[in-house]
Amino acid sequence: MEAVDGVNVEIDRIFAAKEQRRQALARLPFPEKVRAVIELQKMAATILRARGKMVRSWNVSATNEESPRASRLSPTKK
Amino acid sequence: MKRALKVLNEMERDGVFARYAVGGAMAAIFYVEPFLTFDLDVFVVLPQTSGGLLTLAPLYDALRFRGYSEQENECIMIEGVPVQFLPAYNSLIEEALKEAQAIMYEDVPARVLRAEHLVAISLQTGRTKDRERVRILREQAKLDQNFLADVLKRHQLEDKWKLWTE
Repeated sequence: MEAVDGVNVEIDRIFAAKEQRRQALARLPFPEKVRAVIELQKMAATILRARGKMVRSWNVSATNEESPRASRLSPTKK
Repeated sequence: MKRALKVLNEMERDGVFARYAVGGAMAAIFYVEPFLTFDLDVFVVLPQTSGGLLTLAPLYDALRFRGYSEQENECIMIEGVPVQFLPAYNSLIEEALKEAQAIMYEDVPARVLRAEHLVAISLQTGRTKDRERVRILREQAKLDQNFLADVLKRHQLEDKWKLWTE
């Protein structure tokens, strides 16, 4: 039982950290979130196009809305 | 998105529509963690037409005049962002637009629907993704419970709320 409890403690810690991360993402300023969405669009567009669904990410490069920082945010797909 | 919001502000100032606010997924993202979406839903209060008909035709004409004519899946591309315009089609949307939250997107003023109205609109629309939106808004947005209760009561959405949340 001790090993199982140890695993549960570790899993609980991972889930708590994931939840903290999601809460932190929710608190980002809106423009940061938009940058993250654009990064998600780029990732998803490649996959969706391969499946025959034509989508494209927002083309907002001229407005400085694409940021290398966004790719580090790792937002979740809903 | 900043440029697209500037265009929306100009159009509101020019009277193309009486008022606008960001709704849908991008509005939800204002309150919760970022998630995947491809378009920007914009709710608008259109000026009254003589026949009382709700039509987006004058809005599309105004956009074409400004050089935005590219369409993609019911959206108009504005400065690289596919924008889906939705007229205020019922009393809930009208109220949501009236009480939308003023925000600053960097140095550009804009409006976003209140989180409580996003919950109510999701309940009213009732798709699977709306159910998910209600869940994440409950989890991450700081909902004003009294305000939400009033909205749900006013628009007869209390039963749906119970069904989805109990």
